[in-house]
Amino acid sequence: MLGFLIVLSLAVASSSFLSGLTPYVDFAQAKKSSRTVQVLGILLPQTVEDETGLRFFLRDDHGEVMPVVYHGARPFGFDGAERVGAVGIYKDGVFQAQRLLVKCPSKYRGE
Amino acid sequence: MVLSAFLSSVVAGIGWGLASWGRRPMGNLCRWVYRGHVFFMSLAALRLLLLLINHRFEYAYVYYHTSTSLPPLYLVSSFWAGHEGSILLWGLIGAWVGLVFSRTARPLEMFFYNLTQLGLITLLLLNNPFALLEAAPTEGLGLNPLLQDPWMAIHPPIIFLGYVGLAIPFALSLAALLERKEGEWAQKTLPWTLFGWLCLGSGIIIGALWAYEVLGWGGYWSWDPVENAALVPWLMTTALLHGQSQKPGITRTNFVLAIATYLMVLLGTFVTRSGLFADFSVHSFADLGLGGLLLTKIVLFGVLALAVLGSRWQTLRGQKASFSSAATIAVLLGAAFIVALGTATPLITAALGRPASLEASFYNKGTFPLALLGGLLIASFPWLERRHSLFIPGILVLAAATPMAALTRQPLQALFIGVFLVALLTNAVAWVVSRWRSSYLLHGGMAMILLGIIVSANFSTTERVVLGTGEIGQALGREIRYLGATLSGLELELTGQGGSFKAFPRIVSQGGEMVRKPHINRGLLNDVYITPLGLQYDWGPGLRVGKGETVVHGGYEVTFHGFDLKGHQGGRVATQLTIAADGAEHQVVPALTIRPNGREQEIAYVPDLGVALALDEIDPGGEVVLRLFHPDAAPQVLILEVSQRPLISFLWIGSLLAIVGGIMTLLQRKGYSPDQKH
Repeated sequence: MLGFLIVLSLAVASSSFLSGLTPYVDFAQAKKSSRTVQVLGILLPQTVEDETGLRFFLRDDHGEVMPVVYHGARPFGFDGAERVGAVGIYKDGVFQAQRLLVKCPSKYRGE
Repeated sequence: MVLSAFLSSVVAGIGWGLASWGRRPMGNLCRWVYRGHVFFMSLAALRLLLLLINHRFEYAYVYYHTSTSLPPLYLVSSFWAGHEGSILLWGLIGAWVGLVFSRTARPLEMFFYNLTQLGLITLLLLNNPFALLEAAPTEGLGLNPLLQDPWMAIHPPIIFLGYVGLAIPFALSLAALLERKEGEWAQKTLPWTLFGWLCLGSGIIIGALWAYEVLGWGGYWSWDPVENAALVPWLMTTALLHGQSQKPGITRTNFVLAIATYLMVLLGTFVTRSGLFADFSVHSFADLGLGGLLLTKIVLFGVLALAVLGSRWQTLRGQKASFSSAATIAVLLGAAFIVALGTATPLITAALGRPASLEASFYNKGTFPLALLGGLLIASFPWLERRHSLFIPGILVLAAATPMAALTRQPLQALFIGVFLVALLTNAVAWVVSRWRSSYLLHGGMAMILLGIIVSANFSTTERVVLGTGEIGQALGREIRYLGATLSGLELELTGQGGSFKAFPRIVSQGGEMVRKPHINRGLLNDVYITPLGLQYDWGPGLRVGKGETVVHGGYEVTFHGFDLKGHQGGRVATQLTIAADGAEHQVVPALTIRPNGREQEIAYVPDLGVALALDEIDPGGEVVLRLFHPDAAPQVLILEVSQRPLISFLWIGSLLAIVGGIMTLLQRKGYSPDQKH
């Protein structure tokens, strides 16, 4: 009985693992992909925040630029960030970010 | 100097270890040497504290983490804001707890405990908090604004209390194995395990509370590697607790768990501080060059533990675990495994050449069946000693879940809610019926936490609202009106849903960064969570003025004296102005910080005159452009995110209940007797 439940749990875990895997790609691949991916890029000037969301531009290591929109609260440290990571899907010419990753500004070496 | 204090604590530690506390009857001498260790650690800690309080910026650690404007509470908590200080804190706590432990510990047990302390001191030697800078600055960089919060101030000490608490079962295990005293092990270890469990668990909840109140995105947990690094050991400790609680003991499992849990604590430290996760985590330190050292330490401890365990494996006898114990441990370890796997995924995939991270949905979906089973086990806790203990709770769960499933057409969700609702109820009833037995309080609290988690995760709603000053908008079935910016924050009034309240979310400049502080309207059934996303002003025309000149606008005279050089850090420019009207003069210092992707303005308010001044532009020719406006009257556009989060209160209330239940259990169970019921 216990064994059966363990096997069932493992099966569920594996399938959610595969569906939750978010590859870390560059912008060219992100633009071609139709699944959730993770990108990282240099934050360019001209960030706009209005009722349609937080909109900004990122540039990856290959020099490719991509517009990003995020509908949540601006994460702390975003304003001073050099590089910003985002998890989301590229759709209709804009990267729809579900999550933003901003590293602590380099002057803070804290936890 | 302090270096000698360090070396002395090392000598104390080594001398004590070399004295092979275990081998020869030098008990008393070793005790005094250990007290010396505690003394020197305390001395070093006191020194760092005094340096921080006295603003001795020539010390790198003080420079990087404090400033003269830091309030006293945070001057103290900055002690553990950075890596070096936090290791010192961990070592200090370890030293003092070890002193308490030494009162009842056998020599070999202290030997192993001291090994863990030695490990910490070694780290400390290589990461000295007392490093000096080449020149002595007059001002420090200040504490990260996110850490300037009372919860964040106590979070690390409590977590370290937990880690230290878990080092003791580790030491006790190795000693018991070598001395072949496995029988007494459970009795001695359970209270310490419970202590470590309580502290680590409290620390984790405090971290979640901080995230909820301070970070502004409305969540409390993001499955970040640093968060998981504390959660995985905690899950394993919970498993160990259940293994230790079963009588008679399931010896092999318990020893393996006790050892593995502490190794996982060390591994978690590695995750947090090695910089490996720098690209995937918002929390982790940048690469401090520690990776190799930490990994070596883990490997050494691991090899030692395995050697000791292996040498005694054959002789360990133990009972077979009861179904509920085995199931509980399996559920907890399974969850720990899933979280650990998810956390390690970026590393594994990177090593395989295709770096990837995992969506948060993995953690939720992956642990779902385990959590469901775990909930059923918690629900069945009052029936533990009976046969078919899952039967009645199972029926109750189905009874609760079926109508819900019919209503919402979400059977899995209904099942999940049903399980923890029943778990909460059965434990609550049992708590009353058993005349307040603390273990029911504990399990009821845990059920409550999980109920809060699942309901708030599934039934939260969020809306974005844009409001002009004085305008009324609609959000989440309420009317929301923006009354303007005040000194306490952005004043909002919400009416509807049978009540009304005012909210004061804020956007402030703290330490050079714009921090968005949410307003949380807490209720038993619902939290209303309001985050200010942005505020735009229309400030009227720009006033151009050169150094030493005066400009007149709307009855006010503004004189630009010059730039304020004291504020020049990281691109921040401040101007010294005098504004005069009706014979009164005021000095103000508005500032502007230019960043690569935007600019932030520090607006100077003059309450007596009812106006505000902002610095808009700086000319290379030395002229500045100012804006003078009435904050109460200036048209503003405020963008808000309003969320309703049901049953978040259950998370905090449940935690409180579980902690109280745990403390009471700890106080009652200082001795473990095989005949004692749960």
